[in-house]
Amino acid sequence: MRRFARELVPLLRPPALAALALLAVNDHLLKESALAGVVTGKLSDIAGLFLLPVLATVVTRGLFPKLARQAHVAWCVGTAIAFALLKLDPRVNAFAAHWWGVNTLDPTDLLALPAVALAWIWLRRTKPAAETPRWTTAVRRVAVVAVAGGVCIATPAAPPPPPRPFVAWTITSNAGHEAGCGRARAWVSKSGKTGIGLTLRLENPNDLEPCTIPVPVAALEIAGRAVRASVVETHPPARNAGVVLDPCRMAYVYYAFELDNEASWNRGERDARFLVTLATTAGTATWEIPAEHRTLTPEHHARGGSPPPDSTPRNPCAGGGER
Amino acid sequence: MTRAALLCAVLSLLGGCRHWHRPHDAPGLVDVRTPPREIALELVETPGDPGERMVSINPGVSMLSGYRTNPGSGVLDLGAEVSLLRGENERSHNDGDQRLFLPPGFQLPDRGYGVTLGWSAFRLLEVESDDPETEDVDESRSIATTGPVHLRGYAFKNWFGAGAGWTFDPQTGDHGPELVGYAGVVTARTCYTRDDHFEILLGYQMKFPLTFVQSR
Repeated sequence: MRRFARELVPLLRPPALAALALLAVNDHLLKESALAGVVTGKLSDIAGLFLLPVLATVVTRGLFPKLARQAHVAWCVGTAIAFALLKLDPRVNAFAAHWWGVNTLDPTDLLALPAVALAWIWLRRTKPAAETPRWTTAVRRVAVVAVAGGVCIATPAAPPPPPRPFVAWTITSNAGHEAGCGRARAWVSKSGKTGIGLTLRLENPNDLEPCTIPVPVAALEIAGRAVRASVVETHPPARNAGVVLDPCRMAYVYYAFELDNEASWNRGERDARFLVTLATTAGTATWEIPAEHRTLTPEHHARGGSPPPDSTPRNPCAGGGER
Repeated sequence: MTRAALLCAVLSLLGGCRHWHRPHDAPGLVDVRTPPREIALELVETPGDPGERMVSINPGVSMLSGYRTNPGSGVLDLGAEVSLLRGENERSHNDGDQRLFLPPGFQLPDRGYGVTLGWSAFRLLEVESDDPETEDVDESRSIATTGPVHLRGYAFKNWFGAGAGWTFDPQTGDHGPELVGYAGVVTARTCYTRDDHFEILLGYQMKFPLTFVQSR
């Protein structure tokens, strides 16, 4: 180890230590602060492109003395080529992202390549220590190499990956339906192994008079079987006659369909229809709502972000008709 | 035999690390009796993660070294093995996750059990000389040979595992019990065969799992 440590001297000189400090501060402090941007990205590339060939060369010289003369050439050329491929080729970039971490595919980062040339020139001029160091010195030098290696490898925390897709029932055609003095709109709000939750929005588009809508009855027809729903919640609570809506107000009814939805999925049942019986101006009508069981990507809940614009309710008196 | 060993090793490497998703049992966990958290939002709630099950065919290579008794000799053991394992993850993996230094497609369950069939395809035994005239001289000879076949069951959790099974050497007919322990890629194996052959080996194993994943 003492002989190995003798070759590590170039890594302890100011240029290498400065690059090491710059890389550490930039990657692990600045990039995660409000200063993050183009400059921090380039600084990181410059420091890394200088430090990596220096680190690799001194380690190679220490481990394989016979390769000492060519090591810096090989590492500088190799670093430059690898960096260019990383920044230019999407396949190489994707491969590196899996193994190492997310790295921006940005050709302008090649502006940092002269740092490799600086490393080359500097490595040609530096020489190993004249004397074999003491054990304590050797241990300190190897520790610096370990830290430098860690700083080169450890990239800033990757952004969270896109959420996993999940399987759920969705309504395929949802034009809404007349419901006496009001109108109704439905969507699947829960879907999982043990059943399906359907939410019905009842709207009063009249801006002058209140509207009372009887709570509709809902069922699900799937592969020839019928599943009746239970009303879990009406918001605001319904009265005997139904849901009373003030002018331009809305109410929500949540239905639970308890069924072995996992078995249904495994049997390949991908299509179904909800049957909602509504009181209309002409009496009662059964509103058939087609639905399909498919894979979805979470857009809102999984990431805790803002809901998509289409998911938020609009004022029923605002016009524009049913969505 | 050597060609067969080479073929095993090449096939192991060619298998690479891949995984496939099966759609079976895909729906997530929900409590439909409870209304959605935001009833006014026209969205289907993301269901709870049910975790996942995995079945994996896990070919690999191993390089172990150690010592065996009767006669005493150092052992270098290069082997190929294939495991069939079944396991579970409490939380489903996300293909978008960054996993430092694990190859793309590498996927193994956090806990599980399996069986392994292995073969020590190449063994180098460093045997001390039995020539009485050179007894006092530090002289030994190397013997290249093929080694035993191993069949064992094992269980694992995260990066640690332990197994027990039987080892059989087709050349000598020796057989006996063996124990194996893992910590990541580091492997320890010990076995005892008739005629008081006892060996203990330590080294590395590399696995290239082909995994089928489905929801729990």
